[in-house]
Amino acid sequence: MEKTVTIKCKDMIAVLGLNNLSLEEKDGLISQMSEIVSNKIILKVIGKISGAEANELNGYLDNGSMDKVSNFLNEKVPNFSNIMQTELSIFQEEMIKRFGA
Amino acid sequence: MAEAMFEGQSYKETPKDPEWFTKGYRVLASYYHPDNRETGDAEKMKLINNAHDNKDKKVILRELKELKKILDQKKNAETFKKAKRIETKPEWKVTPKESLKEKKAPEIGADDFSFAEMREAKEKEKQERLLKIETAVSDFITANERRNSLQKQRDELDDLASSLGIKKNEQQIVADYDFAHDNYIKTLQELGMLTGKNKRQIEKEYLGVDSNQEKSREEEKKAREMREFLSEQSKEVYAQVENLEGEKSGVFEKFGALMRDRKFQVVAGMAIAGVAIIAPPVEFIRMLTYGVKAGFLPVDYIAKATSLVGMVGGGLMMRGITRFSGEIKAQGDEEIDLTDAAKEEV
Repeated sequence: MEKTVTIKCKDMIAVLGLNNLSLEEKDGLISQMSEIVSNKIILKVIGKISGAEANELNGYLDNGSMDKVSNFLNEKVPNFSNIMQTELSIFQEEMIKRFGA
Repeated sequence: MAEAMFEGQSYKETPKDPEWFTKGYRVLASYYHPDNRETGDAEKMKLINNAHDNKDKKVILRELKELKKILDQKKNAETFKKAKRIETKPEWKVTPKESLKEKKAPEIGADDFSFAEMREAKEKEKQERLLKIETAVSDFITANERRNSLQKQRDELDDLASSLGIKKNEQQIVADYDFAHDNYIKTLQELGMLTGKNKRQIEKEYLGVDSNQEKSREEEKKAREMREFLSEQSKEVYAQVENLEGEKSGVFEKFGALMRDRKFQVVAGMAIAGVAIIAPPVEFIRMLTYGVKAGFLPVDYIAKATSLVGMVGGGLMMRGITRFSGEIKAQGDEEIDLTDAAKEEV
């Protein structure tokens, strides 16, 4: 997910016409955008699960069982990929609408 | 004359010469005669003539003694004048001042220049030389103090670096990198790649820098507005998080931390770098490869080097990767050989 988000946010820099910014500034904006989109996706995912499921996921996260986290998401949030794409698209549209070149 | 008459005698005595009266009269007459421009005195002459006609020895003798005193005073004055070395200025062709400056002998015939002025010039030159020496010594002392101060600061920095766990060879790597970078830019300039109409294009391609300042300013303004907007967005997200139930709030924090774990970004960065790096000079890649294998070019500096030759995205992501490469190594993950990816691109 993070990979896709980061790539998309990187693309945003070019789409928004910010190629002349310094590397540090681009880096900062990409990090800021990536964090917001990621948080929004997480919020959406959390909204799809119940309190008991949240407890279960908490346990996997505490143990660092990444395989189980992955399986859990595939099982409980089958449209995870769609959620991610939707949130990204919403964010991109909003940014282009506000800051498009 | 008058002196000769009294030679070997006191002035109070009468001259022994029997002809002294006649000789004395002649001396007085020659001195006071009105025809004499400098010493002529008509009244004295009349007095002397009367004394001679009346054979008045007393008057002649008194006048002779008086004349002797006058002559003595003049003589003393001349002697005093010589003693003070009051002299006429010579006509210099080459003045002593010029001779000091041009290192040639003074020659009569040039502008007037007294010995006093010459001495003054010499003294002045001596003072100037002393001043120069004093200034040089003072400058040297100041420079030495500055050097010692810098050395002290450098020692303090070295101590600080050691206390922070930065090894000296790492500092040397930074210095080596800076040197190599400067050399690289210099080479580009020497090859004419950073001059003329290609300058902007080359800078953009190799250094990721666009010299279009006007455009940059506009973009900076837009970036500021974006940052403000993103900050607002972030606040909104965290406001929603505060309203989550206890378990879900915990999931958000842990899941968020997991998503922000840069191991994910490393993978993403590798993928992006793989497609974004344009083919750099072969020698440069060879240097990077050798540097990594030999261990004197850690990933951090590879990232810097990549920013020189890669496109903006490549350099950007590589720097993101390297920032957390230390964590990855600490966790025992496999060391990433970035050069293989770069080689494949070549």
